[in-house]
Amino acid sequence: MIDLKSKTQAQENLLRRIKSRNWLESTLKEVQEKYAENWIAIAGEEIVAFGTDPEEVKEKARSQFSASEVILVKVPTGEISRPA
Amino acid sequence: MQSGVAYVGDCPNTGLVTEVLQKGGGMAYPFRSLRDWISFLEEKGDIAQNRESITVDGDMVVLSRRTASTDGPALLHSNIDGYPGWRAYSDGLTARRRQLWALNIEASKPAEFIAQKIAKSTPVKPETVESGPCKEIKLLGDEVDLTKLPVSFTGEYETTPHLTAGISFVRDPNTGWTNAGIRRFQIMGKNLLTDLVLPFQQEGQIFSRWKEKKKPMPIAIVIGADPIVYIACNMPAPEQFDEMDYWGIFAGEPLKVVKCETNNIMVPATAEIVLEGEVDPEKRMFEGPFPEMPGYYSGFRMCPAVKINAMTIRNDAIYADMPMGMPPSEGHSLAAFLFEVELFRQLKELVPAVVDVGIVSTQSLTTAVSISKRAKLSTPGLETRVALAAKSVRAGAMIKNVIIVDDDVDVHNVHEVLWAFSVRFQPAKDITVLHDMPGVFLDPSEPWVGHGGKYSGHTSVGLYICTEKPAPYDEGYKRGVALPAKETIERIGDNWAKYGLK
Repeated sequence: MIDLKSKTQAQENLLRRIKSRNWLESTLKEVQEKYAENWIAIAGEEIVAFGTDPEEVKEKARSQFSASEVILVKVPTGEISRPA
Repeated sequence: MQSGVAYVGDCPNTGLVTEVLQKGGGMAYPFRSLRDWISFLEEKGDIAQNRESITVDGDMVVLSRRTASTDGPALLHSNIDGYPGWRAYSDGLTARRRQLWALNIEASKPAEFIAQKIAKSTPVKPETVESGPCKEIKLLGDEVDLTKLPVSFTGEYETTPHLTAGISFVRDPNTGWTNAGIRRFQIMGKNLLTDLVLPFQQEGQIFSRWKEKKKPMPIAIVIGADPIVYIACNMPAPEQFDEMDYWGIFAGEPLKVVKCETNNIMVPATAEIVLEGEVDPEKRMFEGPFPEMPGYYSGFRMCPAVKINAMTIRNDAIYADMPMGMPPSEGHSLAAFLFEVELFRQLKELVPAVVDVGIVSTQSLTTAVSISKRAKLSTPGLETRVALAAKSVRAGAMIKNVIIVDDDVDVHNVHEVLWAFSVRFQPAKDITVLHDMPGVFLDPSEPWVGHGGKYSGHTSVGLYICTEKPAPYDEGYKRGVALPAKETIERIGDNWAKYGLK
């Protein structure tokens, strides 16, 4: 039977990534100003590593967090397009 | 004819044969649920049952890519780390043989067969039933939790995973027309998704009508359904035509549908998972990045937010995944199959000498069209005419490379197409380049340009004439394909199984 009650680590990690994503969206302007052209690793509501090489940023972030806890993003430039 | 196989009809114009698989007391065509289909694939030995533990952090996609690139079996995973009890299915429609089984056709030119079947049929409306297996578990309001679904990441740089095999069902607020299509939805919260609504697609047009009314657009997202639902919803259909009417055309009986719990949308009664929600007319959220069809990531976009109000699922539900990104993949294979049908239909109307259409790679970016050798002899310039027509018809809008071959080349066999390209094509005289043509904004080989904030692809188009040319010399043999005698090819080819080949 599928388990719809208990909360697993994988599901907790997803919630954490959602939180990171939402934080990026709410702070995009500041992030763009500070980290333009960079890759950033976000865990929770914190940038835990940044740099121009995504592999290096990933490595730095993974020294503290598991891959599934962190989102790795190239800071977008300009306004985000809105197709519809 | 195999025992237990009944032939039920011929397509009069082509002599192609359909067959119905009737197994004693067991499941028979049409497949009325994903589970029927999986049982069928089990009997065929064409689904791999994976009991080894996998994660949703890309494992599923790596396995899927492996099966897609080797023409391997469909996949059913039953040990997904962090999602106890769940099973996940993919690649049911990746291989061409399974696409044909799903539609119950045996045809050497399926595009022609399907185009003719549709042309001769009248729509078969779905039949409403009181309830169905998709209602076995109902989670309403605060009970909804999308993080319970084993949604797989497709690419490393997705921030949160996307539903890739979700079929969106939306209704026109003015006419009641229901549009269905595979869309991608990104998980944004326990009850929140984004919907990549594109204004040039029918879902986008319906959404604009709800926006005009300043009302949220009701939506149902079906994840995991019988294979005909997935094929039907991807069929190009004119506005006001319900894609689920194709289900009835293909299956020969109406699709059974049930009403959603929180809106009036009708969904397949045997669906594994149904998410019911509302697309906000104003609220937008970051969508992306996502591994797109050309094999590159999209960036962020602001896309409509979808609030999920109910989730109904089957007992022991099977989650369905359909990866995209770098081809080959199930997403590419399914899209290619249906592009071929539509492109063939539109092209044949313009140029009857067209024999078949095959997508060579990456949706329709590279497409091969075969033409009648006989017609070519009496129609100078036929190849170029066909190539131009292929790019000009609506279904060919995305094409970047058109490869024209003779009808002795199987356009579905990449080896044969590349053979024609290698030996029947001279770069100095057999290529025509068209500049300033519409293309696909996702194509990373040409920077896309945005006109007034609207997306607009821009491309050049290559026409490759890979047909046989008159011999400039006579080496003593009739020019032709160097193969064993025709009767030998037929004798062996009719008995592959005797020689241990499928």
